[in-house]
Amino acid sequence: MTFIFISLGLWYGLFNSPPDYQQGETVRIMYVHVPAAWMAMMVYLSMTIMSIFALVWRHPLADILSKCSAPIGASFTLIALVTGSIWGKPTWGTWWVWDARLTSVFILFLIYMGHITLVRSFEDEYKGARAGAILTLIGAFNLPIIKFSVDWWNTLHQPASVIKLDGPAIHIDMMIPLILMALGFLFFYFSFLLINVQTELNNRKLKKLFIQSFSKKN
Amino acid sequence: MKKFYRLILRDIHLVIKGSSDAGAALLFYLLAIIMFPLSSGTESTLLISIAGGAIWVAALFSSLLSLDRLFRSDFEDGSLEQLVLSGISLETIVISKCFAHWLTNGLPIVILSPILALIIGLDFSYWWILCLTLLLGTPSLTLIGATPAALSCAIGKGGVLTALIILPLMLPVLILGSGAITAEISGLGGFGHIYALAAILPLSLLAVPFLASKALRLGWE
Amino acid sequence: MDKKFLVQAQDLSFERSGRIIFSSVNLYLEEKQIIFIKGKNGSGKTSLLRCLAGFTPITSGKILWYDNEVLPAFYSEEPLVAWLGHLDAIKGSLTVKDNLLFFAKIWSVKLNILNKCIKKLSFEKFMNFPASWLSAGEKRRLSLLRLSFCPAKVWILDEPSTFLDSDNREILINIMNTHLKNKGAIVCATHDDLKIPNALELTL
Repeated sequence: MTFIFISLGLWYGLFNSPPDYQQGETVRIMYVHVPAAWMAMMVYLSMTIMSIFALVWRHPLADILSKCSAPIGASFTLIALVTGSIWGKPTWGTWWVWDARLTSVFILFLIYMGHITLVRSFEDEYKGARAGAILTLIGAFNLPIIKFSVDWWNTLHQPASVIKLDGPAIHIDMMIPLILMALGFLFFYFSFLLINVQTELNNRKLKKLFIQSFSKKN
Repeated sequence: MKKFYRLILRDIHLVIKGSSDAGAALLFYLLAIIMFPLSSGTESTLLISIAGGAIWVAALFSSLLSLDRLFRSDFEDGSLEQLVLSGISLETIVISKCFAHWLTNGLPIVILSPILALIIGLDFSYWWILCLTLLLGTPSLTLIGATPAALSCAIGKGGVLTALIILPLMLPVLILGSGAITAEISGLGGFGHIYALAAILPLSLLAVPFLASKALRLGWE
Repeated sequence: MDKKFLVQAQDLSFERSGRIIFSSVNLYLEEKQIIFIKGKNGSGKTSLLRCLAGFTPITSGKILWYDNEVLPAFYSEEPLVAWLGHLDAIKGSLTVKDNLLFFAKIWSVKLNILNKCIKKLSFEKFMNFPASWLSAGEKRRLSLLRLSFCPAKVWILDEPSTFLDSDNREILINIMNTHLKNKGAIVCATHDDLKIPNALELTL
């Protein structure tokens, strides 16, 4: 599924959409940059929800899901930052600027990295996953800052054109590949998340069996 | 309420009488600020433009240093367990510790800042906005750092990891705080930033005790 | 007539990192009763005590304190249990007097009771010294002192006789007996053989 969506999205993006009058061919980077940025935030949002489940109701799977989403979210953030930077060079004339949106996404990346480090610094994985859930919730305040940063401050980054209160403002020809890529990334996330979660569960089972066999020997 | 007062008094007592952490953190604040004029030579124009930010960065690092040990000593010697069993909720303990930390770290920073503004070359007529942003920001810094401090109890060791986690979370406060000063100096008006700073404080006051308590309980598991 | 249980633990089991520490543990504590928890090192004595107090969540089973599912570590009205664990909870930078006064005040213990306990454990001469000057045995005795004026009915003691010489062991047994006489109850994990009449035993 993932493969289908991403290839469709790429094809559309590269061949079928019209070149933007101001930016020429480079605008096509948008088809990677924007969905990646969407995913970066969406993954964190889902981590936040799972963390609430983990902490309030102690659902055993919730903090595992949250823990395994983090590296994927971090990668998406990195892709968004890097593609954004590549896009920015020809259009703005600079690789990076510390405006509100770029800074807050960078902070998101740092929070992701902190999360990954924190979770893996525990010897006991259960504790690590729960600690990750707590950290996720503190960092959650950053999400609305990212979303609304382009509205609250004068920023170099362009304001929201898709998710606005009065409907999207871009042409349908560009919307389609964008949505396709977004869906493609979404399925990518789900498939990788499942792989990660399965790995984590297998690791825990292995450890449990190992410990049990060890204590049986005694 | 009486219990709360006793608890706060005890925490303040402990910070002052205990290891010289509090004093060390403040000394660090002074040293950090002095480093800026020392490292940028006598170019006063450069210094003035970053003065507001420099004070904020120094304040951030100063609180970072003393936050790590916020819960550690009570956690490690069993006092935290006794307090909780005595009918004091963990959330209350968290707030009490944060308050004691702010009184011995944040408040002195606010009070010292006008003098330091002189040293670092900030235009003295802007001392009021410096103090205001620090007054609103330092409690948030304490609160935001409290949860990672609690998590470090759960890990067992702190140090770099705690700092690594605390810093990205403190960055928005830093940006708003120094942004307010810069905006005011350049005539754009810093009050937007100040309102945002003021908004962070009640939000963290609501969320942090709950999260930090969870982290401390995690340490007991 | 239904006997009133202070603490009830039904079919408790506790797992950590995939290892089963204990399972199918039942415990019913009444007034004037003492239950000794015995077992080898690593058998889960400390874990059981911590689970009873509520510091560690149990994997399965039910714990009731005074017929209530709220555990002491979550109860914020008054102390439900007096806890003596491995750690002393003594602040070295405060004086012995301040250490004790703090707890006396938050437990709403009258000063004359506090002074009586201090006299009973002959601690008067230490009062104004910083607690860090005490030796390990003296610190242990100090936490025993604190235990003796705690108003909670139930005591949970984890290896209370460590660091105690024979004189202090006598003091420990004395205060335990006094507590039981005053309608208290004790759950105590120990390797030691503490001679207390009518004690029940639970082996992990």
